[in-house]
Amino acid sequence: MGITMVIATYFFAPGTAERDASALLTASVDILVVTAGLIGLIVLLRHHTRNISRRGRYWKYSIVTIIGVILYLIVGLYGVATHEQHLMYASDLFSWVYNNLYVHMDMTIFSLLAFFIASAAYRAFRLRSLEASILLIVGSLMLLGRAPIGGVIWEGFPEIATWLLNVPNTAGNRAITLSVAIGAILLAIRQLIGVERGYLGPER
Amino acid sequence: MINEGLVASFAFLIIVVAEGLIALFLTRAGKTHPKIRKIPGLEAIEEAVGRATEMGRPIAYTTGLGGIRDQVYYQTIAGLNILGYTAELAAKYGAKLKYFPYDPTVMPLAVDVMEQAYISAGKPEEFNPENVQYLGGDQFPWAFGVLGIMYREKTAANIHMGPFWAESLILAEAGFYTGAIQIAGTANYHQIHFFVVAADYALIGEELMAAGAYLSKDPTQIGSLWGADFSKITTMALILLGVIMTAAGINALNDFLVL
Repeated sequence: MGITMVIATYFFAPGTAERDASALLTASVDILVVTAGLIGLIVLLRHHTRNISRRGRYWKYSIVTIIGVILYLIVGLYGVATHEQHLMYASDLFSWVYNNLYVHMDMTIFSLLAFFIASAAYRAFRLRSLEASILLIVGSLMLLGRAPIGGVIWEGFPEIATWLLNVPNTAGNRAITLSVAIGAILLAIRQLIGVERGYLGPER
Repeated sequence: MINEGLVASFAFLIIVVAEGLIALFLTRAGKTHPKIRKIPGLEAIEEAVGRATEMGRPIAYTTGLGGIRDQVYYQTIAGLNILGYTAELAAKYGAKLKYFPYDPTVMPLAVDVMEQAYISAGKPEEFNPENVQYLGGDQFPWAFGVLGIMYREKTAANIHMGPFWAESLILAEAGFYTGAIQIAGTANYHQIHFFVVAADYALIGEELMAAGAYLSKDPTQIGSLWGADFSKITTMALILLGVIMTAAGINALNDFLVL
């Protein structure tokens, strides 16, 4: 299948029957995914029902999890049963729950990232080694270059920040990207020819 | 005929594959014995498992947001390679290892990897499938599920190996505050710096993909890493050639790259 995909990418033009046939092959993976999704749901419910029955640690949270999963499942199935719209689209009730509950909780968690960045930056920007000192100087220049006040203090700060981003930063990124690409190709080759099988567990 | 715009890409793919295979087969035939440098992040796994055993606390392991069907699947596979090694060590030492998959497709694979690791360590009866816990397939709920367990169970070690995005710092920084030893690796260049800053040991980029070969100590696999070095030399030579040719006003290489 791996070789088929390589051939399809390089030799079959988009829109041709051969390319469509190869796309169907990859779509067949979705069958596996749906099954795996169901296994995930079963494992999640089994884990939490056991935790409740054994009065395990934080079992009350398990109740909340199960209620959440079942309620959202009911809302989803209700949308499918009444299907005012095409089945591919979520029902209004499903979207309401998603947009008004889930998205807000998700964004609350995401916003905590700002505090984690601040605390990580505090630790990383301490003058304890040459590398940390360079990081501190470059980080300070970037902050001054990107914050509006930096340009007000000195108009050179935004230019320095842009240079840092476009030259040393891009060079480093490209070095990592190229190495990763080569590493990924060779990892795939090792797997395809059966040399590397560590992802199936250690060999006896 | 090769599709338009992909000729240079195909040529480069052939070069990389050829260099990797030649190096691999030369090593397998015993014609060469390449050595691999130490990767501190992978060496530290044993220390982390030992620490968890001494403290009697669990190890939290994640492979990021990847599955086995997306464009970053190779990082997930690399993460599963390291999971097998970590699980075998945990089984030998008697430490509790908990793995939290993000993608449901990874879950059965991970259960298999861990079970196989416990069998390899000679302790199949100690494998508990419930130590592979699915926490959901959405980025932040999953990350906070892991984070919650790290806090509540006071994990002694946190190992994160695979594709990570914005949740990388959430996990690594929260892990720092729990006092756990942290080993993290990703090939997503936009997240590497977060791991470098917040984790005790970080695997940078291709080190993650080399992990399977490194941990297996299999000379044939290490041979392909030697091939990767040749590919990098070829890449650098092409970049240098491109700079010289462009500076000299010769556009042949540029023209070839857009073929």
